Amino acid sequence: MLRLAWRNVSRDWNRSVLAISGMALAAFVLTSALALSNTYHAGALARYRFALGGDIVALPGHFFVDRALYGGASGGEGGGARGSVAGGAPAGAADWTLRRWDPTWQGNLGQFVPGIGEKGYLAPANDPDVFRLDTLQASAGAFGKAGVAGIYPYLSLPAFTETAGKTYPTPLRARQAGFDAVWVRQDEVGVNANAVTPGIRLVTGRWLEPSDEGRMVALVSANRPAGAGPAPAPDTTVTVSVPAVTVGADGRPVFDYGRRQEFRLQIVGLYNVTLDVVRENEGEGGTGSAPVPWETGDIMIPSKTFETLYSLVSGGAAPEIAGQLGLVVKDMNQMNRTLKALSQAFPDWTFLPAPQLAGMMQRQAGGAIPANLSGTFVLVSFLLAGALAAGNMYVVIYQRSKQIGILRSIGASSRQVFGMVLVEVVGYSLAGGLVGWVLVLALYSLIVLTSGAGLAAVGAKAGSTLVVVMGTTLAVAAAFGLAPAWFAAGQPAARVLRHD
Amino acid sequence: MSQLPRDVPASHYQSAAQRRLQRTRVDAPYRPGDPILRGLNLTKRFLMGTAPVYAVRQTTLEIKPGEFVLVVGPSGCGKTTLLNLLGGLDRPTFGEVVLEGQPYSKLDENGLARLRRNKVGFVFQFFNLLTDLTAEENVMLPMQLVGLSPAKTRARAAELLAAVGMAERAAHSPFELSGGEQQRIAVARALANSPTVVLADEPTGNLDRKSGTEIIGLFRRLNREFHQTFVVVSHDLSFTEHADRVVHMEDGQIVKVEAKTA
Repeated sequence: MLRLAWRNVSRDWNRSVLAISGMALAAFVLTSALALSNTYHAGALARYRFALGGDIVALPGHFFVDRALYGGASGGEGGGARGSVAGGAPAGAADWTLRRWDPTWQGNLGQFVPGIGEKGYLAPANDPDVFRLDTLQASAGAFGKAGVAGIYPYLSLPAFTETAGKTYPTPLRARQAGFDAVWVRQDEVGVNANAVTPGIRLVTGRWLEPSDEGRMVALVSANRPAGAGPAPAPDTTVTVSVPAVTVGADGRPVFDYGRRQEFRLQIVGLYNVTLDVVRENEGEGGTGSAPVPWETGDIMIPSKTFETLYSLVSGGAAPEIAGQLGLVVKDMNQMNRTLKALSQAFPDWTFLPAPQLAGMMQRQAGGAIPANLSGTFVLVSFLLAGALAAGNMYVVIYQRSKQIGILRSIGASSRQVFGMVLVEVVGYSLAGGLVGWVLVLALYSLIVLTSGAGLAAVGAKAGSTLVVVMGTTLAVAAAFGLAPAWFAAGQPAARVLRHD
Repeated sequence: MSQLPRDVPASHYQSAAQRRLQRTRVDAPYRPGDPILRGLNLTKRFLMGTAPVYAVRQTTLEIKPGEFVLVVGPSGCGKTTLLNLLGGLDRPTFGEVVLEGQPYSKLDENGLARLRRNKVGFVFQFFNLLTDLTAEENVMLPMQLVGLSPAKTRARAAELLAAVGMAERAAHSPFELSGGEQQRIAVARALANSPTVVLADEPTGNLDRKSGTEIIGLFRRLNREFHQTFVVVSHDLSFTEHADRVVHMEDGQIVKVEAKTA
């Protein structure tokens, strides 16, 4: 019977090609939808990981405007009324206010990158328009070029890669996917006032409190410029000048650059790290993220912040010896635990996992096929393809009524006829699924490769895609092949032969 | 046994012998020497719209082992329907068919298929060979259905093809064979599982005179050499000389039975 089934499949290639094409089309649609969805998500995730540097983004719950860098009511190039470095001088704290994030502005969320997830955003107090953040301008502004205020660069803390229980220090540039780190958004609250180590920046996720004075950790940039002067050393005391901040009548912070506070800070630890700052776009019309070395000097963060972050994320106490800072998140469970712990330890911060950011970006970008839509698309496609296969089999059975009648007359049981027809349907479906899979793999590879995920991702997905496609086509074959097979098996021999 | 249809009085067309046969118990155990195939009080009614049409009407027929029975009659007299009923290809509206003590009414469709597979061989007017298979594969098919091993199947097919004089054409497709040759292949296929009875429906109807005579001669030879039981339906009265018994049908009924005396 198997041989007969094969002969039936092979004797009319037009019919077989039609049936196989139907299943291939369905398989193609299915796999395409899956691949597009997965790849988009994976691609978005990869981009975010690259841009954000890890799986968790730590964002301060509020932030402040350093108008010395970005402010200026008189306006300037590039940012127009929003000012620029060139326009530089602060004209008054009231020029900038902090607006809370309005959920009705979801449509602008994509433009808010990398400020995505922020609790608020910045806008000039006297600006009646909605202040739309432009990532290109924002990042340009962050690097001292013409641009708008509001987005500070993110500080990348290098991660360790954990593989098979071993931990390897991993520089940021090598990280593409599969690495986990905590990204801390840099809030530059002050610049070292001492001339000993010019360019040292004070970074914190919150405003400085008097209790912070005296204990800081210096992150010494491994790529610090040669002429940057001596690196900070333990027990060095530096003075950091920060603008005074008061709370306005509306509860918003007001910065007064005319009055500065000086913090005397003692460096209690040194960590040599490769510091990078990621900006969203490289140049005007840029197409991707690119890490930019932080060349402006070394960074200090409050030791308490550092130690808490380190111990929470790495699971151990901060090392005594200066070394590379490793913030490791091994898996999603640890990520979730870390997120929770970090949120409790730093209630003023926002910690976001990169997958969540990718999902938000995917939704906001609107370029991805929504899951429910793609699911419906796939379902309808498979129903159509299955109906095509079933209809085709009905035609085949009608054409082959004589053969079925002969088989029945010489004693083939209904089960044997049923099996023969089902084998044909399954054969068509498997062949169709295989063809569809090959076609879609080519498309999938194209998408994956253009998304920058690399060949390994193609290989990793090929197997699972094949399983999904073949499994689904088999299920469709079984579902839609049963009816014609049952119909064929129930044909009374005498009636079929008489009809013939 | 089924009841008679109310609209057709049995006495209208039943002979005394048939009435006697009707009284035969269908579930009596089969004993060697008994008729191997019995059609008892067979009626096949079709509906043309709402009007009943009787293809076979209360017909009773017994076939003895090793017998060569020829059923003759004009076209449309119910010969093929009777043969289909005897072979279990169709079910009677009334009546019973018993093969070696096995009443067909006790069998479901798969049981009937099994019975056809193991105990009945069919030869059709239009040969009904599977054109996708070679002559040999056609002969092997019934044996494959019963699950015979490939080696035994092939050996038995070769033996049968030799018996019908088609050993040289084993690898040929039915398309490459003449009508007479195709019918020989069909005969070999019918004999594949050593059936109790071979039922042939107008086996010469699609053949020229010479080929038809050869096929009937082949039946007769197989009947004599292997004691194979044959029931052959034909409208050609010229073959009556080969038969042990000739059953004449008209209008769905057996109107005359001629038994050849030894």
